[in-house]
Amino acid sequence: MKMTVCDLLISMGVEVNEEEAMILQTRWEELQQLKMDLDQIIPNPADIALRNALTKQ
Amino acid sequence: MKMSEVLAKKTISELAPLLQRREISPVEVTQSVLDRTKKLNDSINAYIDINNEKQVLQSAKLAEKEILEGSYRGALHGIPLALKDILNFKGEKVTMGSKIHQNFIPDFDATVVTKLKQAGALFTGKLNMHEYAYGGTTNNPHFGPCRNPWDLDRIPGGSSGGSGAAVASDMTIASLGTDTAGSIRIPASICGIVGLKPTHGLVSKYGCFPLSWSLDHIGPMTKTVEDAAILLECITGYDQNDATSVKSSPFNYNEALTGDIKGKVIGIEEDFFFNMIDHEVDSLVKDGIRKLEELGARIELVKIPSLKYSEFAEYMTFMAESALIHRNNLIERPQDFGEDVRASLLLANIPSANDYLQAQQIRRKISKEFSMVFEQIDVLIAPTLPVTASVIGEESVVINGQDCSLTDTLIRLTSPANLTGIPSISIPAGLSQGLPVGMQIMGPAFSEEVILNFAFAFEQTNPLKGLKPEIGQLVK
Repeated sequence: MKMTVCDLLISMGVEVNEEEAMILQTRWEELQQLKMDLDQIIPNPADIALRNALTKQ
Repeated sequence: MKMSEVLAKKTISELAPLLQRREISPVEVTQSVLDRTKKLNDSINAYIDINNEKQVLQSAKLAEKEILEGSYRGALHGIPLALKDILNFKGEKVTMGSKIHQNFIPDFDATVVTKLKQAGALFTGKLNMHEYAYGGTTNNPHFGPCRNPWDLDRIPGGSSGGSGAAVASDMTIASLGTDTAGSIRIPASICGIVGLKPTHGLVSKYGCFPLSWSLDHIGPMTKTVEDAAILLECITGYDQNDATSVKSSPFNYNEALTGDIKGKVIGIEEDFFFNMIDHEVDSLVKDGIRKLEELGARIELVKIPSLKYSEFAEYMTFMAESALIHRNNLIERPQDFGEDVRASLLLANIPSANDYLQAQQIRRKISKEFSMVFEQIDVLIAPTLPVTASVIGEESVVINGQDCSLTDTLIRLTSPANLTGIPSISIPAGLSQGLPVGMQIMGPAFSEEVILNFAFAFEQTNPLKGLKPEIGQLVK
């Protein structure tokens, strides 16, 4: 079930009224547009794990 | 101009030899800055808090005594500074421009403050900022809006707006700001001063209230490139208290300022950095690049295709990180945030783990593409901002006839340097209808001496033609 912005924030304990939630929903959708085709292009090997630097051998 | 005004208008590099040779006293310089601040601050509101005059002059007297006794510490000894009110000063109120922290008194100095104190710098007060650094206008609901000295109805930029306005109007000799999505470079561009965001990790962030840990930087905001080099040298260095601090060697950045850029290669990336730019801003920055070409540099067009995702990456990263930082207060006392910051923090709780992780993946991709490009070029030059200062209270801006969100516009071109951690300096490129335009020079990680030298070379062409904001009507 898809959560609305309002449901999501309330579930986190954050107060938000309906009017605010609508504005936030619109803005969130705008930000999601910035993703463009990102889901299609990032390869899985783009690992973000920490790596230790080898200083001695 | 009154004699008491003259010293406040000077730079660190002009004052330092006079102080060293005992031709002037730190007391005279500090009095000059305080006098100018008293006259102008009601109109500009650059300071959240002006320090007690007697105490400041006492510290100036101590500096004078040291210098007279032969214990001159260096270029910053006896120089009065004022810093963005986000950096810890032990035993003094540090508000972060907020109501929630309005009475916060830290029990330790930020590392950069410790370094400045050790260098003998003096402090005249705390500078206005966007609440919690969470915005680009410094329209602060708790301490009043900061105003642009070039046009008091306009924003000074942000979030280090107080620093930008104070330096531009000579209410401080120099300042430090912080930069998460452009908050040093935005006010530098808008106020017509120099603002440097160093490489991530070069300057310790210990004792600086965070906005977004992986994007935050501290850096100098100054009247000249030389002053930025002097301040940078003072504040860099490994700090075990900052997990992101790098072990860099001390560097005299001033020595790199030769102005010689013959044979160097300037990269221009047009698809992102010159897209949706006000025509006059575009023209001024390109004129600036041509001037650098006349000085012997070569131009090369480059491509950084993943930059089109940089806005997404910037927003997801700072939203997620700032949401955690402010989470408890947003739940317990949401009414104590300003309206705009509260709205931003509500939004900041929405990104999922997937969104954040995708943002980190695209950061790596953008970083890699920048690294590849820097194998062919020495620096990348672009406008700092697509626009000049907007009117206080406006939330949108018109670029070449098209309505755009002000926030999105202000951070669009500055964010890539935050995402990648590469150094970027904003310098004045000229005036558009009386308002400053900034040009940013970016380089590979730890190439501060290169970008400073390019900035210095450009500065010598006098892009502002010696003009300063006309605030004479405010000075009695």
